[in-house]
Amino acid sequence: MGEAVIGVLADVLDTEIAAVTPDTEFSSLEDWDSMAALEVLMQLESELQLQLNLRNYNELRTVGDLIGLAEAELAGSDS
Amino acid sequence: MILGVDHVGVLTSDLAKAGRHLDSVGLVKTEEGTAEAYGVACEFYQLTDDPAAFAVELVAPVREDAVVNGRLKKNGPGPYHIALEVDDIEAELLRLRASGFMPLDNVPCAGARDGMRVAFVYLGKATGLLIELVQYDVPRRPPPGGASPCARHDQVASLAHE
Repeated sequence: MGEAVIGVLADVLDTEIAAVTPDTEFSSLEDWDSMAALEVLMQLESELQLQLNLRNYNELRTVGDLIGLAEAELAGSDS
Repeated sequence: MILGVDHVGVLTSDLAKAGRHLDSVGLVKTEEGTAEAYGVACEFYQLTDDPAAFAVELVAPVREDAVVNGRLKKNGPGPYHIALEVDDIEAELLRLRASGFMPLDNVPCAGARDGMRVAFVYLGKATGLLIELVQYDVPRRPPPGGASPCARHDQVASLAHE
């Protein structure tokens, strides 16, 4: 899951995968803005075949938070 | 259901100058207002004053936390969104969300025209487009292929004269 999330972030922001870790705060990423956030969410939902709660997504601070949200959503949809 | 293309939104930091340019092109200002939820002032320019005529909407921030400030600083003035009039904005928001597109608004907000509710949806990197769904208290356009309110009125008037 972590690899998928980091891969999408690196792709959307056109940055090296190594530059993104679970501890990375979104606000510290170059070119991170509201449109980038929407593009990341869109690609992530398409790749992982899930739908995240937008309000929860908008409250995330770090990449690790996003990985956790995606994992929780997938676990919920499996149960 | 989508009823038609309502307007194209153009971002500017100089409403007066942008308006003069549209005026010079031959468009006339038909409506203006403020969308408080977004912190923007809007002016609508059309070829005619027909409410169903296609419009260019000039959008300018009126306060520091306006949602368009970041985009204006990053990209400068220019086309900002395409607005589609719909007959059921909540249903269209759900339909587009289910299709994988990203709403910027959880619920529709009041727009800059009277009786106007709006909600923005991001269509993704392939187009970079923002779509503004627009619903009016009184629809400005008939359903595609359907009878227009005027046609219905004409039928009633015709019957009354028979």
